[in-house]
Amino acid sequence: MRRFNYTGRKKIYQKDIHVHIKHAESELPEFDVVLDLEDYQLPKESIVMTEAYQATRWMRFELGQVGLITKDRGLQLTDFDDIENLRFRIKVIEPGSGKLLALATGVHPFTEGEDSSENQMSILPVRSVELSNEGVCWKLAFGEQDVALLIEKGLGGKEQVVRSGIFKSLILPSAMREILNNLINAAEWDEELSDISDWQTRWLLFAKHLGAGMPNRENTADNTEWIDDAVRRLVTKIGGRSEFINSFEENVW
Amino acid sequence: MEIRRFNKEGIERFSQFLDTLTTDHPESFPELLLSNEEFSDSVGSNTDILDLINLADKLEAAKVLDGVVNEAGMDSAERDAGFWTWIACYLFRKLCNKSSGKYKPGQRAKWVAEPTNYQRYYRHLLASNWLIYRAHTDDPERTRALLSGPVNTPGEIFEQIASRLELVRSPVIIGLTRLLYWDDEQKKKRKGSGGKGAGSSRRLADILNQYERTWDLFSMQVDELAEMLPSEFDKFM
Repeated sequence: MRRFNYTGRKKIYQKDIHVHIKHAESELPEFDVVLDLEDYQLPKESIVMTEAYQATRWMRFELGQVGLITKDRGLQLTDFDDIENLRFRIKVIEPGSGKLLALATGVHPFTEGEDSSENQMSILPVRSVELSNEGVCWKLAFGEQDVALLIEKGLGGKEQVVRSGIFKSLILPSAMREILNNLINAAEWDEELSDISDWQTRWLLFAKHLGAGMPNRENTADNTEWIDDAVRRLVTKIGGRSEFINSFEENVW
Repeated sequence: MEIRRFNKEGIERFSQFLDTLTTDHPESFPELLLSNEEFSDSVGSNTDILDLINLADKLEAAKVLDGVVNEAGMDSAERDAGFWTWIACYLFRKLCNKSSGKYKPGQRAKWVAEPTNYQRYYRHLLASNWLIYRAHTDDPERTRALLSGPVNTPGEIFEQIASRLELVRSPVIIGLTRLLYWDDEQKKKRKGSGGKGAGSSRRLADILNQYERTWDLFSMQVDELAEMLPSEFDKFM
């Protein structure tokens, strides 16, 4: 979705933020933040806050001022007992008025031993969760900034599941179809692909990268074909369809 | 009876019972499910306290539930789907609306807690009230505009604010809802706080959503935020 910013608020880029999480077993997770705000020309006395959030959990920390960050190490996430899909916001606030001078949302942390450059935003994060409440073995979770694929925990580790033929040949194409359908049915999507922090934009870029081009805002009938084409291209790219079919012995059903 | 926590199978059984209530063949209430050790574990308190709970007042009920959580020494009650679902099952016959003698349970999320689902966690009739109370134990009366009226009637202010985790945890936002929508003299919500009209809680949620793009609402005072609101809210101040 395209959003216009008329507030003068600056966007802090992910490259200027490093959130490093430490999570030793049986201990609460904690994190360090390193910010490089020098090029943003923010008043030195502005307050810097960070907010950690994850599904139904949320915590807020004051890091100090732009000119003097004092509390940016060993910040304990006492309200969190795991770090799966944890994200951060960074806020720079004008003291007194509470006006937001600069903001970063959806900041991905990186964990010990993980290089921040490797921590690229996955287009479809897969999460292993309990889905008995849903009565299904997989489903999509549409959030503000990403779409995640939830896989029933009982099926095993997600690393194993995503390598399976069932995942590649049945789950992933259906998930992609649902995502693209959701995208084209949304009230707005940004044809200019201007903001990659929107999941819709990232998926449009992905479909474009696969060679499917862009959907047609005027003619929705064309978009059914656009989705078919994008899904077909994805399946061809990841492969495994023939092996999946061949893995079924005759009369297996 | 002991207060218990459903295991996975217990939650599924209760859920199956709820599903039957919207069919032509509703099952009778599964009384034995509550105490059956195959479907639940004890949390170490007694249900006497639940039998006395005032379900006509969300805040009073939330205080009692907080007492249960504390007495049981539960560290992560907010994530304990089995506990909240068992409590809902125990109180089901008192809480569930009936029409022509049939239970009308409404959404499943009102009864089966989904603490990790950010779109539905706040719909649970008991966990949601307790979560709001727990976030404001320094001044529970601050929550009055949200936590008033019967537990089984969430109301518009509750729906608009409780669905947003950051809003519901904020003393400023919850304080603002009290300032705008709670009548201290009449001890009830002000007329016009529900619905879609000017100054309603639905409008407030929309406006806060816009303000959040420009302001850090947590850094502000209730009065400052109230002064910024458009004139449609003047009738409440």
